[in-house]
Amino acid sequence: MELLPYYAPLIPLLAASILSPFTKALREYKRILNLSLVITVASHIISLLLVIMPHGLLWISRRPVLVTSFLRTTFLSSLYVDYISVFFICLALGLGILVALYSMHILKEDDAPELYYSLLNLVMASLFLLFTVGDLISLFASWELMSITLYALIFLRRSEPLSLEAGTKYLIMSATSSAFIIYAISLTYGSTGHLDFIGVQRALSYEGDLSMVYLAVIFFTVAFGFKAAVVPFHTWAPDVYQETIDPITAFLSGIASKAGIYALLRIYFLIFPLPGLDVFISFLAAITMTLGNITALLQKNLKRLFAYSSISHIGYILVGIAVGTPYGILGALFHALNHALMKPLVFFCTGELRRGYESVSLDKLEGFGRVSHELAFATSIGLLSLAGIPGLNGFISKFILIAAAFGSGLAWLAIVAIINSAISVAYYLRVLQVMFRKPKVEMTARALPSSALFPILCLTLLCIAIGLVPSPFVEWLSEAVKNSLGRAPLIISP
Amino acid sequence: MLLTLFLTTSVILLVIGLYGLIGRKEMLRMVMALEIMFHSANLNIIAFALSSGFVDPIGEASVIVLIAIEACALAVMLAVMLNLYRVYGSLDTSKLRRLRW
Repeated sequence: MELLPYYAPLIPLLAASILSPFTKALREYKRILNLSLVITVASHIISLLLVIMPHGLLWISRRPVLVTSFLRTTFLSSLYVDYISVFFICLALGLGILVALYSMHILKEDDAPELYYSLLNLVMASLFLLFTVGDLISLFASWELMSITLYALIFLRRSEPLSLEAGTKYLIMSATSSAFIIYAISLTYGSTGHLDFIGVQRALSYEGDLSMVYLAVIFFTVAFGFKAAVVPFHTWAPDVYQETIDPITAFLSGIASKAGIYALLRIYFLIFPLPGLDVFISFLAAITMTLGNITALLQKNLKRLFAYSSISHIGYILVGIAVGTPYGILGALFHALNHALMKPLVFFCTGELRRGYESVSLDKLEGFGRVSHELAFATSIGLLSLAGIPGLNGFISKFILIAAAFGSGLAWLAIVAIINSAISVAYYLRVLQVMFRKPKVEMTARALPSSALFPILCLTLLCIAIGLVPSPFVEWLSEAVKNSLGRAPLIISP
Repeated sequence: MLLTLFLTTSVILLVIGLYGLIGRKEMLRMVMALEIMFHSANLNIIAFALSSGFVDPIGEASVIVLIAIEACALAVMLAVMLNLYRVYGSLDTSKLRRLRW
């Protein structure tokens, strides 16, 4: 009975497996779509309730919990749950509901909606597993499940050459990163003799020669950095973000890149708490921010511009990880939350633009803000919040990150972040200027369907609300960081 | 001594895999290079599992799980290759250069 909350990932998994055979019988496209959507949203809401209910995962993880399958000298742990896991699970489930709703009118008849929704459920189950597992082999298994499901989602429109090209690039790079993860796992196993998080952490304290462990950490960073789009490994991101359908772009940028951030947090602060890594990460953070922002200045295509801005925001999150103090990690988590609200918002808006005006290239979109008022409002809120204008959510988390960097002696990194913030305002304001410029050709207003209006409205209101009243979120997150890091876990062995 | 031999082989395999991935442009060869990289890591785990004096069941079990996962990834890669061949008429990845900057 006490293990019941841990079975929550089974619900999306069950929904994924029943969706396709049950809805096939309906035959009519509209009814298949509606039933798939209802099952998906229901499975997400039930899992979310299972997480936050009394005696659920949220209640259990007041202190870190380790559930092991058997205890011996070397024990294979199966689950490791703390507040950070619960935070990422809630984020993924909440955004998953919005993505599922928004996909409804983007899908076409030959996209097989029952398979699409089944894959959305499967990727949610894999993320759920990824955020709760407690050993490296399970971590790799859930990581691979997520990657393979994402390949299928990216290849949804596989007969379009450009989409196929972007997907192929993503496939090759992601498979390479998987090979790096296994190699790093093998090095960890060789030098410590353990595969579970706590076992590795304990073995490190009486390990003499750490060179192989440092090599493993670098391999892990490369591999998880691929998914999070950290700069030397980011080349897939703009292509894929530009060419996939918009709900999947929102999903990739909002949730899948956060999975990479989660894995990096676990690697640096739970499994391998080694000294000297902060120099390496702060270097990565600096080049990620700078290159992302400078390349974004050159873009003409709106989705590509947002893809590069997504890369630079991953750089800001890395600043918090590089700082490594509880305050810095609080900043990283808070910025991850804010980025997961702002980026899906702007990608949902570009999806509506693509549907309404058949293009996301900036010169074709001149003046749409003068006719489609709701869309213009939502896009402006997203842009201003990404730029870090005070009063919106992006400002607060950036402020925390920069303050944390100044406070812990990484002043050069804080200055780089401030300069980058200033650069980024340039291209966000350029988009705003194009939006409200007098158009050369007459623009017509497009009404938003309710399945687009609801997610966009939700995210806009959340951006404004967090910007105006950030304190509950900051307090909960600082509690989460305090409870999760550096505390010995409670071991349960059923 | 035996462990050193295994580890050297594994590193050589990793380098061969990386060379094949970077130096070759044909998708089929790249996938083969990826498989070599995967199996260099598997060889590493098996060697370490043997080296502790007894056969560590966790290492052996992990390798079997890893091989199964890699097979799934390989199946997806083959499906993508088939699609690539249908649309582009070849498996040459140097033709995939329409998206730049």
